[in-house]
Formats: sequence, C-alpha cells, structure tokens
Amino acid sequence: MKKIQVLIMVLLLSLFVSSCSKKSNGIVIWHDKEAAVINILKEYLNKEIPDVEVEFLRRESLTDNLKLVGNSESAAPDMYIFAHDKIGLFSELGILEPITSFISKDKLDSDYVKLTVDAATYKNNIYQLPIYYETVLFMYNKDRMSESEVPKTTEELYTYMKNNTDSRRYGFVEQHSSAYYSAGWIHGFNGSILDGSGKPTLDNESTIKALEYHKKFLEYMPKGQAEYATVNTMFYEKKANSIIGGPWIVPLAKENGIDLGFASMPIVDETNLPISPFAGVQGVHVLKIAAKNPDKKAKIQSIIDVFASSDMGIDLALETGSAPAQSAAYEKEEIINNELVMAMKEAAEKAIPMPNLPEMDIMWVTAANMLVAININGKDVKEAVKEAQKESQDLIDAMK
Amino acid sequence: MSKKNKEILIKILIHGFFILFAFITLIPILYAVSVSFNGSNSIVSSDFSFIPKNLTFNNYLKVFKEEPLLTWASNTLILAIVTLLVSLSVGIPAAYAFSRKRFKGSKSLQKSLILLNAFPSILSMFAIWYLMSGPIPLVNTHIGLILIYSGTMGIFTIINLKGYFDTIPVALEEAARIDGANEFQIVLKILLPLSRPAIIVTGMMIVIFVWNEYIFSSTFMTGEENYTLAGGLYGLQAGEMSGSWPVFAAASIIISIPVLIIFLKVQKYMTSGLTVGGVKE
Amino acid sequence: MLNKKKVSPYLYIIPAFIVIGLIIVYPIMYTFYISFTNMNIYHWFDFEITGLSNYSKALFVFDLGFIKALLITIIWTIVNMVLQLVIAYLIANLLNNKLLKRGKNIYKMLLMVPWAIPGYVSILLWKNGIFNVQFGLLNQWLNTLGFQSVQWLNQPVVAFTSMTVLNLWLALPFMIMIMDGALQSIDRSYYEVAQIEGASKFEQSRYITIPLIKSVIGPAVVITAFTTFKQFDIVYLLTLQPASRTGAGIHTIITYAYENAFITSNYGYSSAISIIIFIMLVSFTLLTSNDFRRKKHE
Repeated sequence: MKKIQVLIMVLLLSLFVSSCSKKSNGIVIWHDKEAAVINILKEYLNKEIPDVEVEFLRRESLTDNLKLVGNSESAAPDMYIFAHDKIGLFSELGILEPITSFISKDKLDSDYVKLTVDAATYKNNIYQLPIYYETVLFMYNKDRMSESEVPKTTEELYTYMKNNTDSRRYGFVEQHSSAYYSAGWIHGFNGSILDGSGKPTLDNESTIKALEYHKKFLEYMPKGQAEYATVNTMFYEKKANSIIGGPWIVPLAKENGIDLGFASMPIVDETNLPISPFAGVQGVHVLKIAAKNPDKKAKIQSIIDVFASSDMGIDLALETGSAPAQSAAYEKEEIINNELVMAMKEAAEKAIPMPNLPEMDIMWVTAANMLVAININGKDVKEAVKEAQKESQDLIDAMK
Repeated sequence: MSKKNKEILIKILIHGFFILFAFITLIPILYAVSVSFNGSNSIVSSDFSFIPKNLTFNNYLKVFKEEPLLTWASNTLILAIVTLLVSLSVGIPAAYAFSRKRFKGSKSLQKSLILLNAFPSILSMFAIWYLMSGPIPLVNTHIGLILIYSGTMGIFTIINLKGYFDTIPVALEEAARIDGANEFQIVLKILLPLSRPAIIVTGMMIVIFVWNEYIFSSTFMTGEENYTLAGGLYGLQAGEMSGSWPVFAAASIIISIPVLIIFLKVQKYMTSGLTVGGVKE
Repeated sequence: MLNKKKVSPYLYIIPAFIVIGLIIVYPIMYTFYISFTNMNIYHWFDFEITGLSNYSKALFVFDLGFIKALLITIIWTIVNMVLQLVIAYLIANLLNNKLLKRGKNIYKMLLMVPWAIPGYVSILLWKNGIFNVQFGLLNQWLNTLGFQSVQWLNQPVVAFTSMTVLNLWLALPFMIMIMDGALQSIDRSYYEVAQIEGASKFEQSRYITIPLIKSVIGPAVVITAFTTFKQFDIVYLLTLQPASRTGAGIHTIITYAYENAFITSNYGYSSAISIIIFIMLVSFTLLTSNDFRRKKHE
C-alpha cells in the first residue's frame, strides 16, 4: 500500500511541476518543415542575432491549431512558416499582421520575384515574407527516355505514352485526379479552378476543354489509383519512364539509382501554352497578437531582417531544390549551376501560385470530387463539371 | 472414436484455427514490420516481400536517436496512469450507486449517459478549447488533458462497470453488511475483486485510448516537453513531400509494444472471482 | 439514519457527472449556442447571435444525398454489429474452451494487436499495403495465383466490403475482450447442471450463456453501435482524402456532413447540422428502444 501511495505522490508532484507554465521571453515560430530546413534557419539566426531567443515548434496540423489559438496570448505562436495559400483564411480570421509592418513594400517589389509577392498578397495587403518557392516539373528517367524523346507537346507525350506503355511499364504517370496536379492541364488551356474574386470557374469553356482533352491520356496510365504513393513508387521502381513531380522526388530517385532529367512542361498543341501547374511559396508570417506586444515586435523585426537576407534563401533553396524568392539569388554561381533550382525557376515563372483565397479550401475537395468522377468513374465531363460547379458555389455561399 | 481421441482432435482443430486466425490478423502488422526494416523510403513496392531486400535497423535507430522517446513516453505514462486512477475513482462509485441504490432519476440519468454518445463530437474541439483556456488555464498541462481523457472515457467506465456489477449477487454484500462492514469496505473487498474482468477490460480501454490519442494531445500540448507518444508519432507521418514511411512504421511498432506487454501481463487476472474459488448459492 | 440514505446516492455520482458534464455535456451545449450565431471565418472571434438562420440553411444539407448516406450508415452499422457480435462470441467461446489450456493467453494477446496500434496508422497500412491496386498484398497474391487485380476501393459494393473487413479487424479485439470478460461472469455450476441434464453445447449457449451475458455486454454493444454509426476515419482515410480519392461514392452521415458543411469552416452552420444529427439519433434511439420494450411486454 505504501508503495502505491509514494507512486501517487510522485505522479501528482510531476503534474504540478508541469503545470507551472514556462514563461519564455523568446519568440515562438511554428512550422511544418523538415529538420534540415529549420537547421539552416537556426544557423542564420544564431549567427546574426544570437541574443534573441527563438523556439521552433513543429506542428502537424498547423492550420487547425492556428484556427483555435490564433487569438490567445498564451498559446498562440508569434510567427509561423507555411505555404502562402492559407493567407486569405487567416487574414479573414483576423489573426495576421501585414508583413509590411516589418519590411517595406518597395523593398519587397524590388528584391523579390514578382510571383512570390503576388502570392503573398491578399486584398491589397502583403502577409508573408517569401523565402523560397516550388512547383512541379516534368521529370524523366534518362535511362529510359532519351533527351530527343522528351515530349515537347502534349500530343508528343500522348504518342510517347502509346508507344511505351504495356502491361508492365508506363511511359508517363501523374496524379491525375488531384486538383493540384490537374491544375497544370487546366491552366494549359487557359482555364482555372477559382478566379480572383472567389468564384469557381470549373464550368469555363477552357476548363471543360482541358478535362475533355486529358481523358485520352488515362488509357495509358495505371487504373484505379493515382495517389502519390502509387504514382511515385512506379517511377522509383523504373516502371514508369516519366512523371510530373516536385523537388521531393529528387532524393528518392537518386536513392533508387535513377539518372534524373528535368524538362520543361509539354506545350498544349491547341493553345500553345505549357502545362502550368500550381506553385507554392514558403515563407514566414507574423501573428497580429504578437505584433501588438512592443517587446516582441522588436524581436520579430530582427528576425525578419535575418530572413530577408538572400544568402539564407540560397542555402535553403539548395537544400530543398526549390527556387529562392529573392531575385538577387539568381546571380550567384551556386544557383546558376544548380540544374534543379534553375529548372524550378523556369517552371515557376510559368506556374500560377495557388489561390490564397479562403474559398480555395472548398475547391480542393470539390475539384477532386469532379476529377475522380471524370477520370476514375468515367462520368461525362460536362455533367460532372456542372455538378461540381454548383456544389462549389453552394458551399462557397454557405461560408458566409 | 474414443473420448480421448476426440478431445485431441478438437484440441488440434482449435489450436489450428487460432494459429491461422492470428496469422491472418497479423498480416498488416507483419507488413508494417517489413516496412520498418526497409532501407528504402517507400510504403509500397511491386516486389514486396516480408523480409525486405534492403534489410536495415537504421529506421529503429533513427527513432531512438532523433526523437525524444523518453520524454514522450514519460508524458504518456503519466497521462495513462493518472487518467486510469481518476476514471476509476469517479466511475466506480457512480457505477456502484447505479447498480445497488435506488434513487430518483437513476434510470433516466443512465439513459442520458448512453444517449450522449449520439453526439457527433467533431466540433467539440472549440468548446473544450474554450474550457481549457478559461478561468484556470489548463492548456499545455497534464491535468487539462487528464480531465479531457477522463471525461471522454467516463461514460463507458460507468455503464460497463455497472453492467458487470449487476451480475454479482447482492447476497454477498448483505452478508458482509450484517457482519458490520461499511460501504467502502464492501466495495473494496467484495465487489471489486469479483469484478476483476470488467475492471481489467475498462482499464485496458482507458490505457489504450490515452496511449494512442493524438488529436487532443497534439492540439493542447503546445510545448515540446509535453508531447506524447501518439502526438510525436503523428508528427512523423510521411507525406508526399517529406517524412519517411519506414521510420514512421518503426515508431508505430515501438510505441505499440508496451501496450501489448501490459496486456499479456494482465491476462492472468481476467478470470472473475465468481468462477474461481466457486462462490455457489 | 433515513437522511443519510437519501443524500448519499447522489454523492456517489456527482464527481463522475462533473467530469462528464465538463467534457461531454458542455461541448454539446456550446455547439448548441454557436448554432444560433454567425460564427464563420468572417466573424471568427466577433460573432453574434443570428437566430435560426443557420437551421433554415442547414435543412438544405438534408437532401437526397444525405438520405442515401443515412441508409448506407444504417446498413453499415447493422452489418458490422451483427458480424462483430457473432464472430466475437464464437472466438470468445473457443478461447474459453476447457481443452485449450496452453497458448490461450498468447492467442489472446496476438488477437489484441490490432487494438494496440493507433487507428489512423492501421487504416493507412491497409490502404497502402493491402488494398492498393498496383502494389497491395491482396492483388499481389491474386496475381501470383493467376487472377486479375481487383480495385478494392473504387466501386461502392467492393469498397463497402473492404471497409467492413477493416472495421472488423479494428473492432473485434475489443469485442472479443468484452465477450471474454462476460463469459467469466457466468457461474460454472449452471453448465455443470445442464451437462448432467444432457443439454447440447448449442442448447447451453442458447439458454445459459447468451441470456446471462446480455446485460454485461449491453453497454459495450450500445457504445460500439454508436461509434460505428458515427464512423468517419475509415471512410474518409480510405476513400475521401482529396489527394487520394478513390471514387467509391460511399458516405456515412458524418462524412457527408463533413464534405457538405464542415469544410466551409462556417461553425454556426456546422453546429446547427451537428445538433440536428444529434436530435435525429437520439429520437431514433428512443423510438426503437421503446418499441423493443413494448414488444417484450406483449
């Protein structure tokens, strides 16, 4: 009995100890990135502003957590690092501080790649300090596809797929029913998923054309499944000769002994536009509640200054294979010589940043619904589009 | 066939059945184990074999070296043990009262406990957040999470124990009462020992729930020092752009083992006092 | 003496009800309150009461699609509960067979393994390792045996079956444990008497075991039924995640509510829907349990 009593005492004591919340004077930054990326950030912060205490916390459901705590002085972080597409949502919630409180718009316009500043802008306010950006590329296995075989147009791609696909191998694979990847084809026909004012554009002529055109490619792709695990693995195991994917493919392809080649996206014959996928801009954001605190504001300012250094952007880009957000980086040798980064830059120039409007939350789901109906369940394109458009509009209306 | 031979045949059949059934049940686990020993970062493979071609212990080493398993484990242990104690401490008296005492509203209270399960609690996070950041700040504390867990498990604890208490003849307690025992002693020395199977099932349910619970813990534990095993595991999840499936699989297995050990140890207490020792009317 | 008797039962239940009140009842009340406000992303922290507008809006969600989802959910619950009860009962009985002396605990432990793994991990494992059309174990085995691959998650009926198998895999350990515990509560002497009187194993089951364990497994069965009904994870993670949708077209009422309301982040609206679903379920439960009681007395 005595032993149990001691155990209970110890447990209760440890409870009390943990209940005394630590009041840290430092800055808390939430993120969803890998350790390798964060280490670079920490390195620069330690070098430039060693006196400022900064704590990086990885949060798996960062968006959901922020929705809950965004306003709470004790539980909210001070800054967070994330893609740009949630800016609209958080701005409407009222928890974001415009980044222009810490860095001038002029400096952003002059130093940064235009695409990244656009992505960070919502309702005429800029909410993110871009650091690097990425999109997806046409990648291929050099052992299976020679440089001359790389398709320059989508018709060439189709012919290639026809000639190189059999029961064991595919000429080309992609995540055809995910809105993120399918957007590339839609943009290639000048269509879109959501327009700038938050209206779904699934039933635009161009969008419909894109979806109709894309259908024939499905014949030569794996049936029934198109999520990343299947599609990427087919490529890594050399069962697919080419793929559309992002920088994350590179290390794994290398691990599997693939001689990886990058190429520009095929051009849609009909419109002369390339397949232009979505681009994501990763950067840092500041919470309003932190900016209100003068002591914190000063510290945040110094952090922003460090993050605005182009050297850090370069190191990060080289680490992740993405493109640095600052234009100056492209004059540096290391960047110019890096095939992946330069391919990324070129692709991103033609890419379209993911819409940062809150309405996009709905579109991810309804567009995926529509794509699955068309691509996997074989539904008629016009019908599926009509349904999806109505569904999207209804849900968007329901948001208010 | 003689009786003995018949028995042997049945024995073989039963053992055979269980071995087969256990094997089938374990196939997904074996798959996870195989992935966890795989040197290449993928969850699927066209030439999958249970013993991976690229066998390595690296993933397990990585989990042990790179993740603060000790912190996570001690947090989870504290949460599990205290939640268990709290749940049983408030649940047993309630179950006892519902089972043994007649009082106004008893039946309707029990009914409402069951009906409360009909609520789709997806949106409850907001309410609980509001609660936890109210007058007494309980965010990022063990106590807060223990309260949440005890509340979540409370209904099951009460009605499960009550159901079992109902099967135990009251005569035993009455005899003890005549002998001068008070309520507390009756419950502790007679009722509880006889309800061992139910207490173990309830206890396992609570422990496994707390052990694997990641939604509340990853939302409310905002400080790294308070992360739990399940919360930490959730962060290791692999996606398209980051993470390693083998490491995630290895971590899942490491985290599940203690629970299985507890289960094995607790097995021998699963027989009730009623059948052992023969309490006959 | 009399006073003491009157007060004390409530004292026994108060601590439990405080805890349950805070964590279970309060969220329901809070959700009820929010359902009358305009809390959405445009009024996240500064919402105000707007009356019944969310409810009139919510009624549109309960359309044909919802009815279809409701039917599927009911079938899903019935199929799963029946299978769980039958299989768990058979296995628990076998486990308690007196001929099985050695290995009983090991078998039990092995059968519990699915329960020890976090649910979402299991679902991901099944989705990628077992059901995957290209690489999953099921199709790999089928192919080796010379059969064509099956698309396990793309068509409604096949997908429903796959989900059921997965749900059973996840839920049986708990049910087996409950059954096992319940079997312990039966006095052996009943069986001894029945044996002497020449009753067969089947008759013993029917007239001794089943009636006696009913009240013990009752709570677990009811709670499992509700949990099965409110199923979200299995259907969502297997077939509805935006980047890996399978087109199975299966919705339970919760996944339907999620995709047709909750994703708008309009909490006033979503709360109204939650409350309506809650009231539906409660009414349904009360009606069927009253029906039961009436039939019993007839």
